Amino acid sequence: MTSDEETGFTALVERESRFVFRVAYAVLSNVHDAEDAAQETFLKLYRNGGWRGVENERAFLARAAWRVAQDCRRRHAVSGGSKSAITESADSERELPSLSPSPEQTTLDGNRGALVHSMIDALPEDLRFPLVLSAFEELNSREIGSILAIPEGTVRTRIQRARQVLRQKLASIESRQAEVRHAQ
Amino acid sequence: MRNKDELDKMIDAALATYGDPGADDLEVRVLRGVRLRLVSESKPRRLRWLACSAALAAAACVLALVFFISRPAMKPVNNAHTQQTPRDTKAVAATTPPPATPQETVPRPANAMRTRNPLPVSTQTAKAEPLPKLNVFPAPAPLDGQVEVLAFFIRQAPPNEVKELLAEQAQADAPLEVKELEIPPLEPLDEGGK
Repeated sequence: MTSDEETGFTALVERESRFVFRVAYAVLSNVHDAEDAAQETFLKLYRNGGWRGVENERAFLARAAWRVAQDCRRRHAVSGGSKSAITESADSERELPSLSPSPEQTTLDGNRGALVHSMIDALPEDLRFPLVLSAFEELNSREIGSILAIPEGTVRTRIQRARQVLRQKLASIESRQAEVRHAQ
Repeated sequence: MRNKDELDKMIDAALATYGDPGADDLEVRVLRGVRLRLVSESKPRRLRWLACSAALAAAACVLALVFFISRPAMKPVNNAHTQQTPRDTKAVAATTPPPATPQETVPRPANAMRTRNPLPVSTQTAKAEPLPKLNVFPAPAPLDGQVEVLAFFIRQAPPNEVKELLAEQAQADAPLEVKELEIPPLEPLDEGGK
């Protein structure tokens, strides 16, 4: 690799590390695993030189990171013992995150962002993946569909469903909160 | 109770920060991790290359050694002393005995070339026994033209002429005596002389 390409690759890592991390996190739901997956993604790109001359950089990186993260998850599943928190939550009861604080508790703490995050974590994978990927402006429904290997229409439907589930949960939590306040 | 738009805004805001690593130096860590992995992968690969090249070099050396050992001796046997130049020696042949060849001086056994374990010709040539020592060394060679003429003259000419010839030859071969040069000193020029 020439020095120009080296510089280009370094710039790519600095520019897109967070994006790749977030895509990996959507699959793995664990900070350390996501960081490892991000490193592995860039390592693979460095080895095969696939990052050069890409038209839609983010869509390409999202696909690469998604595949690496899925491989990571499979490896974790095979190795068994050391399952990450996110994998556990995905495998166990999907409605409630196992390691996160309960939504009610989080709401009482006043941290609404964390509340919604814990709700997203608790979503089933087929709803969570399209929803999280739709948060990246650079990815449209078609690209998300190509990453997840599902039709574009299905992507839209699942995003809508995921949002609906989140809205229902938030509404119920808020109503319960209002009841508590009223009782006090 | 919040309406649908407010809930959507909350969800969008949460999605925007979902999985965000925060303000820490994630880029630096990822870049460092990639470089570390590259270095750790390249070291064993370099060692593997070194081992392969060393093995190849050793194999090449062994092959070269085997080749040179099994190679037939390319050094030709020096038969110069056994060969005679075909030459018209009618005049000399009558008076001088023909030069003795090694075969005549040291007869080789008849079964010299026979071996109990027949080997390829090349191997036989390589393992040929050293040549026997000659009785007369250097081996007599046929006379060249001038010497033949001289010998003929000595045999045919009367003894007086031979003696004269020998005396002239001895005179010619005698070392030259050169007198030392005596250079007289220059005399001073007369007055007015040029």
